Amino acid sequence: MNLGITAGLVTAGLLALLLLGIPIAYVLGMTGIFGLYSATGGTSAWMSLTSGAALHLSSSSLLAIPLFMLMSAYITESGMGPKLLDFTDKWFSKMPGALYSAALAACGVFSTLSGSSVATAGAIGGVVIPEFKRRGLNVKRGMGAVAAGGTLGVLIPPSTAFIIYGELTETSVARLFMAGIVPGIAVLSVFIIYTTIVSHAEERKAPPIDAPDVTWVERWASLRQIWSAIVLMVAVLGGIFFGVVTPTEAAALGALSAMLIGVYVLKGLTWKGVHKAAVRSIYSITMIGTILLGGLILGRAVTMLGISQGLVDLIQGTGQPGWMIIMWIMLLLLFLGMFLDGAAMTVITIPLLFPVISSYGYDPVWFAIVFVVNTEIGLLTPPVGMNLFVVKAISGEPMIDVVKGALPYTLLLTLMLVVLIVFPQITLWLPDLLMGPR
Amino acid sequence: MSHNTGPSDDSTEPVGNNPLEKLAKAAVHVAAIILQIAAVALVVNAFYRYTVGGGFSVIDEGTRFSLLIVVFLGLAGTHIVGGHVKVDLLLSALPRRAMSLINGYLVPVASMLFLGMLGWSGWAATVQMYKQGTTTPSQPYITMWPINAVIPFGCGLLILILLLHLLRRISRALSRDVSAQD
Amino acid sequence: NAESVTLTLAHQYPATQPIGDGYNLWAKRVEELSNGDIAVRVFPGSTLIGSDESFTAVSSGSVSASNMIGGFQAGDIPELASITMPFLFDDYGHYKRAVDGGLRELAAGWYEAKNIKLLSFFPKGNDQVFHKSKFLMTPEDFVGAQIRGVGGVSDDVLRALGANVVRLPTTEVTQGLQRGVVDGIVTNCVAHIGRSWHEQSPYASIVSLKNDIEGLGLNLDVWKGLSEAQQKILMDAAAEMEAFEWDLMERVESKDCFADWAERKVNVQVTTPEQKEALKAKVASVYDDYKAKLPIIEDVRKIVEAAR
Ligand code: NA
Ligand code: NA
Repeated sequence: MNLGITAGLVTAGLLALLLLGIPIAYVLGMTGIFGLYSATGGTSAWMSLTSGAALHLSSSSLLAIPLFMLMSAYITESGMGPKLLDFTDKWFSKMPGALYSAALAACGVFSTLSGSSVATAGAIGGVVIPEFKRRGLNVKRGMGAVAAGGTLGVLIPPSTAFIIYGELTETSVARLFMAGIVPGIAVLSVFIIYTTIVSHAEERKAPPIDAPDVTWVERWASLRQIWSAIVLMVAVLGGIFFGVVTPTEAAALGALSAMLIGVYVLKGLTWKGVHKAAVRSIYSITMIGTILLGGLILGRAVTMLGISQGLVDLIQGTGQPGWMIIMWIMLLLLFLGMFLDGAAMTVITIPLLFPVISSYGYDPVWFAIVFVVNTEIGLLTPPVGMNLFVVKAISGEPMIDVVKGALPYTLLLTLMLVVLIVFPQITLWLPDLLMGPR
Repeated sequence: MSHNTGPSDDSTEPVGNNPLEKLAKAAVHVAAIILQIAAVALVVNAFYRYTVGGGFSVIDEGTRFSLLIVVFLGLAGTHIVGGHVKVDLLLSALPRRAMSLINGYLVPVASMLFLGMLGWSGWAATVQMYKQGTTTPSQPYITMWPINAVIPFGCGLLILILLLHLLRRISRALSRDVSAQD
Repeated sequence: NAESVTLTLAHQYPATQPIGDGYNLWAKRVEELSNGDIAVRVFPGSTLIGSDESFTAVSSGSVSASNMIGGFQAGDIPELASITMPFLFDDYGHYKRAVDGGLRELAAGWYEAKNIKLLSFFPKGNDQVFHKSKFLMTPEDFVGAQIRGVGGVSDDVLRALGANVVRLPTTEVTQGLQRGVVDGIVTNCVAHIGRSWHEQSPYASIVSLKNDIEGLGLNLDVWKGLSEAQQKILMDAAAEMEAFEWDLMERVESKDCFADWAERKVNVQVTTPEQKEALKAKVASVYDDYKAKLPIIEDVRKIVEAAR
């Protein structure tokens, strides 16, 4: 079959099933199975390719994912979210748009403890969105800040996205984690600068009524509440960066430490709560795990149908310069990001794009960051934007308001994507410095 | 959103105390325990490496199955709490009756179709592993079929629950029709 | 007049790894020899399946053919461990004679019992030990060393030598060496250079602990569905591929790797016959452990001895 027709059929089937409201993971998997079935001439060959994809979840490099999610669940359950927000709120209190910046910064800090964007948006959003309403602030922009800030969960280490990328491309996860730090801080800064400027203009017209007066003593004192978070962050990331433990062990150690901190230090976690948190993590792990699996099955179908090779040949056959190729890839990813979850997008497109990127001599670590920023944008674009979903669920506001609130941040993120593409040094500087150039 | 739209859109059924639903919840608890044990085991392994040296092959070879096991043990329970992500953009634009039909009948049937194919392929692989005595390729050569059996187990359990909910829904619809005729 | 067929071949080698050229050569030659009657669609570089899945995929027929790597398939065919025992072969000449003298037949039988026709059989490469700061040439050198193991018999060999075996995902080896999670690794010379692991483990001890096996496996039902002429074409192409891989592996391990190491300033030492004997004696227990569950080891030994 013609490449365009095959690819078109797969995409159309995917979209139709998605829009019917069938769980994303099942849509991916089902489309994949039908693809495998037709690619192998209607034989039973799809069966072992499907069960093989499921068994692929037992790859040792993916083990860090459930452990980081367990860690994240313990932290959320132990009440770290409110403490983080209280801390950032105090520090930003004198600035215009204090609570927006505080929400963003809290997301940034939480991202150092959580490998997932959805978990970050959920943990901080659950605390800050009611606060936006209570203080009578612009809830729409607040929701946007949480949805956008939450996306940092996959850019700032630890990150499940980098774990999956590392597994697929045989790139060191430790190196990828390191590469995410500077871009993560840069994106966070841009977000905060934006809210400050916008709020400054607004508050000149209408000063906020309910601005709490915070002293420097209180600010420093609030640091006491989150010292355990800092210890945890240093232990986990330090453990990985200084190679004392593997990323998987760091995740296990982080989970165990988070549990002990929750029980003995924050005291927000009872032993019953420990198990409750673990149970809650199972739901998130199952969610991401099934999407990953659906993506793996569909990815195999895309390979078997010859779409991957066809597309790679097509791209390379154009003879266009590298930067044009990158631009085409970015447009493709922005489009796919509208419909696909980040994990699914990674497993489907990376095996396809990575050979192209490598053949042009681009750095795999740099591409990982660029790719992950793309998946972050995808978290904020309808119809399938996981962070939009989470924020809508927390706030109970209409989806359209969440989308509008997130729009400026989505544009800023796109701007940062361009900056990161043009200046690879932003990404590569830190890993090269700490681990030596590749 | 899709995680907890509540029961209003018919995408999740109110959960009863059916044995199947109890089993699904129990499986989630088992998954939670397995994951926590794996976390402790990995920490022990890392600690052992720095104190004694080396590691336990059973931990190296065993823990990597955590994600697979957790995903499939948690499959049915995650459905019950409405935790599988989906798009409701088009649906919310449809008339209430159409939405209810799609959510109540089409989505579960399509889900069962996928779960059936996945579960079947997993079942075939499990039987194959059992017959051939497949183990992991390294010490301690863990027997594979009981691990792989989580795939048909998880899929099968969720299919049964979807079927149960579908039957409940049909019988509700029928009794509504009967009462409408009266 | 034979019917035309399309075969699928999935392997794990990207274009940069010469071992994959052998597989691509097979595909090309099959198409040439059959005048296009047999088409082969190649899925290289793990784009379809990984090495841990080759066995199941071919055995069940979801792909027609794939590369069979002994080390990954000891869980599917336990007997494979008997060919990957430590210090089995003196050199590639000896290995080849043993393969032709009965090992090929043995292995083909194991695979055939699990629905796979083994079309070719060649060495995967000798396991050498690479350390960040010293050579490991004698049993004493191994005691207490933290070595990244690759699983299977290889781990048992290391443990018998007194090393501490640590498992580490492939992606974390560089960092693991750099920061002291492990002091050394076991791998073949191609991977040591190709993955740039030599930067963190510049001491190469050529101990040739064991040699893994590799081969091209074809689904048995597919094989049986072919005409005799078609079967011959597949075998002829496989023979060419096999010759290519033996030559490649021998050249790489006896010359190319040493040249590459010299260029990259890697320190290389080869065991003396005395050192080798000492290591051999130390790992004799591995044979005893495996003999209990794999009586076939005795047969393998006889074939290997006869080929010496
Ligand atoms: Na993170
Ligand atoms: Na999106």
